[in-house]
Amino acid sequence: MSAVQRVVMVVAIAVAAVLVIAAIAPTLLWPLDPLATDPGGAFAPPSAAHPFGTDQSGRDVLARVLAGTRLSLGVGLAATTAALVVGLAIGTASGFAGRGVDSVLTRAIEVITAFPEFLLALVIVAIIGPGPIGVAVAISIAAVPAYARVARAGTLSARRAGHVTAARVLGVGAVRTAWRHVVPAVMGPLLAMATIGVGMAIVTAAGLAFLGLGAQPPTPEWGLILDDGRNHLGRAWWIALFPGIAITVTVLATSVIGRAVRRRVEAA
Amino acid sequence: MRRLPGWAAELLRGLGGLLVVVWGAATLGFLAVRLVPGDPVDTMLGIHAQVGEHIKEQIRIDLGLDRSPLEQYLAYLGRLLTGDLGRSYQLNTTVVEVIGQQLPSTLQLTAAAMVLAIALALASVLLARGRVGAAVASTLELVAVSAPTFWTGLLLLTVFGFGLGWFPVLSSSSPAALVLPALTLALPIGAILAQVLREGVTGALDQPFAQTARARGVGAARMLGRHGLRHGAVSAVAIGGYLVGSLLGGAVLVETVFARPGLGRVALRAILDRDMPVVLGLVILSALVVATVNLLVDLVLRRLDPRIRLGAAR
Amino acid sequence: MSAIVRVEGLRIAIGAASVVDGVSFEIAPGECLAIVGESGAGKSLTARSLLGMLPDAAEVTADRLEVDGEDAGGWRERDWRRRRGSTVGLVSQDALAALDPLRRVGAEVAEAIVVHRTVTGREAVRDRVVELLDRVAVPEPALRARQRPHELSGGLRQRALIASAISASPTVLVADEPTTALDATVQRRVLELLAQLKADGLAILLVSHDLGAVAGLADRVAVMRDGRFVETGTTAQVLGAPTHPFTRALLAARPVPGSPRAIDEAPPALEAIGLRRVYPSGTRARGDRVAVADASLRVAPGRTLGIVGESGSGKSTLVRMLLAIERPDSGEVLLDGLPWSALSERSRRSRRGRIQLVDQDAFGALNPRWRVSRILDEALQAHGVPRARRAPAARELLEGVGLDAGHLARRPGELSGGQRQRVAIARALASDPVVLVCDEPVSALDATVQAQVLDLLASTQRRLGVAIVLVSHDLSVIASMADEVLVMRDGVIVERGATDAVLQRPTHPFTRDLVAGLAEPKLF
Repeated sequence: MSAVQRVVMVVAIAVAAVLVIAAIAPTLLWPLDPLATDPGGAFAPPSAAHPFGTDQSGRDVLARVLAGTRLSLGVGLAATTAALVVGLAIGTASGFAGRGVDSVLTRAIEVITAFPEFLLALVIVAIIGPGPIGVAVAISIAAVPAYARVARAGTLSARRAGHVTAARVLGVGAVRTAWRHVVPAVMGPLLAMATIGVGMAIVTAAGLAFLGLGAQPPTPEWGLILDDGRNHLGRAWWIALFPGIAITVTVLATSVIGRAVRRRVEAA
Repeated sequence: MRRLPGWAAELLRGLGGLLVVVWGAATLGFLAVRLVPGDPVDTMLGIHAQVGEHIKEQIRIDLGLDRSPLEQYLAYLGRLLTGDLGRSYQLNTTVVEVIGQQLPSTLQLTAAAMVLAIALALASVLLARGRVGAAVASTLELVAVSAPTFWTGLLLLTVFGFGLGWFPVLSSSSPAALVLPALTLALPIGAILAQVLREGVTGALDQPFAQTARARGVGAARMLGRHGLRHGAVSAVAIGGYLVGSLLGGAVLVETVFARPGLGRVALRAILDRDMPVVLGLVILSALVVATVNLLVDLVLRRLDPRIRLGAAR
Repeated sequence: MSAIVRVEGLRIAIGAASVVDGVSFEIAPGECLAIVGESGAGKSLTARSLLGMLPDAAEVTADRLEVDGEDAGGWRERDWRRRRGSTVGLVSQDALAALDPLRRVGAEVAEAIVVHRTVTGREAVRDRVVELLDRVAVPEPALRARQRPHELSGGLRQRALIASAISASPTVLVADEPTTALDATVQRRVLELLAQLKADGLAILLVSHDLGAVAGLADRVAVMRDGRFVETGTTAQVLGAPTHPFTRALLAARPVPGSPRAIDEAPPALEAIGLRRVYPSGTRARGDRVAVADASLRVAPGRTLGIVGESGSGKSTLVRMLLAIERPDSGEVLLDGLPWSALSERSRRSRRGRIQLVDQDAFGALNPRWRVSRILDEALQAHGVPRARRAPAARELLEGVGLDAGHLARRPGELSGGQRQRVAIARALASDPVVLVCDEPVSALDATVQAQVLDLLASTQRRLGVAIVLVSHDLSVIASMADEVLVMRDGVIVERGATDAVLQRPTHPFTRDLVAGLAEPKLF
């Protein structure tokens, strides 16, 4: 790793650490109450007392952004983990199954993939109803096909690997071969995908909230704050600016970490 | 049956696949809509409507909701084949009309965004060469992909609309009003395209045939133009379906941010109002679009890279 | 004739390591100089210095570097680019990778012409391309020019590659392993083509580890080791009467046909009767592909059966059927005289230990993430060895293949090619098999290592009495070890018999071709 890459990694991990702290105990980083309104102090531009300014109800934007981390991170992690587990199961089953089952599963996944992920999540939320849980479920369902595809491809190619054939020639049973030789090979790329997937899930969740389909006001949520910001764009540009920075920085950090994971996996 | 030329057989198979996908989407949509809790009539009339039960019964019969699910499904498929997507619960028109009215605006936006994205990607790959240039370009692209579209749209609007006043803040049908939304939508797409293109190009230049070409006296420019770009294009076209899907998804957000009329607004309204026929219609439409793009991508890929024609045989 | 290439005191360093350490040579027009040696000796780098195509990290110095009479010492990239293709051409191995798969063959052949503008005008260029393809004996040149590289067979591809290298009429040709990836019969034709070009006045620098190819084409030979020439001279001198010990070792490492052996009549450990395997064509109406048609064979314990055939001959499919990892469409395999292929996998599993595989790709056959200890442990566990005995058993296995216990802690990536193959052999022996199927076990190895591995297989056979099925495209490998040989072509066994009989009196024309290629190549 070059010096620049090392610095970038350190920064990314630092950002991730800050995010985790913000998710668990936001007041450790900034003591103000995200829900405390102050109508008289509305639309205050960034200052020492309010580094991110205040919104239309006089609430401190920095406190709200920090508080929003928990929801965003929570939804992102939950959705991605669920998608990874389900995708792994479907993908490996499909990769090992006989041609019949495999093609049925593949077709089904193809149909789902015909949908852009965001639109699919949108439609699922339409059915389940708005709210953070609905958003998490929607995002994870929309993400499963991608993980299943990678798991299936990995399974198929691992099955053809010399050492898998060797295991078969040695007389090792099918399940054991799968568990020992195939799954470890597949987990690597999946984990790399998942690390970046968390970032993507966070953006999608914020997007759905921005459209009014996620958490409802007055809950602090990055997409919601951005929506507030949109409504008062000409007057108070800072309400829209900072949650967006938070999202971008989060996604950047997960991308960097995800790439490092992928490089590690490919080198093995 | 055996005497069909290769490409015709492939085309038929592709179309067959497309039909399967659209049918699958329609069926899944139909099932999903049935899952929506609550009485569709109540949904249609709205929570606050004070309507007598016998009128509701009449509406149910009119809509065919009194028949068995299987009959409803078959009737639904039948209507689809004739291009009838049903009637909106909320608005007083057919779904086809609703979609048809707003389609051109969205089409304008996505087409402009695609063109911009391709231009940005090509510029990035052709201009930012060499280790430093490529690294800088990669970083910028990473940021472009990480920043949410609804945020970049707001930023661009603030700076170029409210701030500098170069572009109109309110939406209109003038081309100037198309610039910021199209640019917003184009940024992440162009970034991904640039990355894939660059990976394809540099990957190709690392392979043995690049050495052979170099041994013939081929210089950097010709190497990139004649050899590299073709390989890069293969990778780029391969993700065409995904890119179009992202465009459609992004369009919803961008239209909301810039208050532009279009299918995005229609979709949002329909979802918030639980107007299921419209939602279903949009679902089928987007499935159709993406599946068609995938089919085109397949056909183009086979022409570009004939190795793919052989499949997994070798 | 005066030399057209003159190199004196060439030194190439990559980082701190000196890869080429003071090399000097000359080549005259119409002459071929071959550089031989093992991988990593610096042969390719030396050759590429004539093109100015060394890795960026390499530092090159030379007392003299003359190409086509011009002093190349001070040439910058731009100068080299003008000479590449027009003065010096390059032919490398594996034309499938060396030609742009997305471009037509004709475009690739024409590229040097277009870049150097030796011919202008689209019609004229096209004619020249057809002319060149014809010169390199590519049939139907106009048709081939419009095709893409993967649509041509290996031999045609390599010839097209040569055409693309000489299209702008260079006076010097660097041939870097031009025949390595090819089947034996194809190799010879490519070498004949190069000989013709040489006769027409081309100066050739040939780099190869295949001494047979060298003997056929080169006028002079330089033997390279660790960046230096340890011996130079005419081909007759170097190959016929080598003086340097390293050269002698290199020559001795070529597998030599063994002593006469008779066919044994003992009951077979492995028997195949009428095996047939057909792959359905799928889409096109081209007809199904017959991979193996009516193959029968038997091997007795302690004997070696060789199967020789080129790629596409069906030998790999046959191997898979013998191992019962692929089911024959008709016919049967018997192991220890009992049904083998006809059984279900569950009934077979307990007997799997009786027949084991040593594959060509040792790197793929060993799980790259596992240590050698775990790899052997898996085999022993599958054979039912109790946990307590596995560690000592693993050590014994390694010793049996000539590796010490220190290798247990290593991963495949940390071993050399020869060591990996030994580990693969050790693993195969873990279950005490009666049959060992070796599918191209030495093709990917250097000459000296090849000999060691073959020796190991032979001594293992003597020690354990195991029957060996040895599959290879290289007849010399088969000839050195097999008692009996089968020759396969396009799925059919075209000839069989005792190895010496087949070698001395081949009947089928294909066999005759193979044997001709094997002949001790004019070693004087």
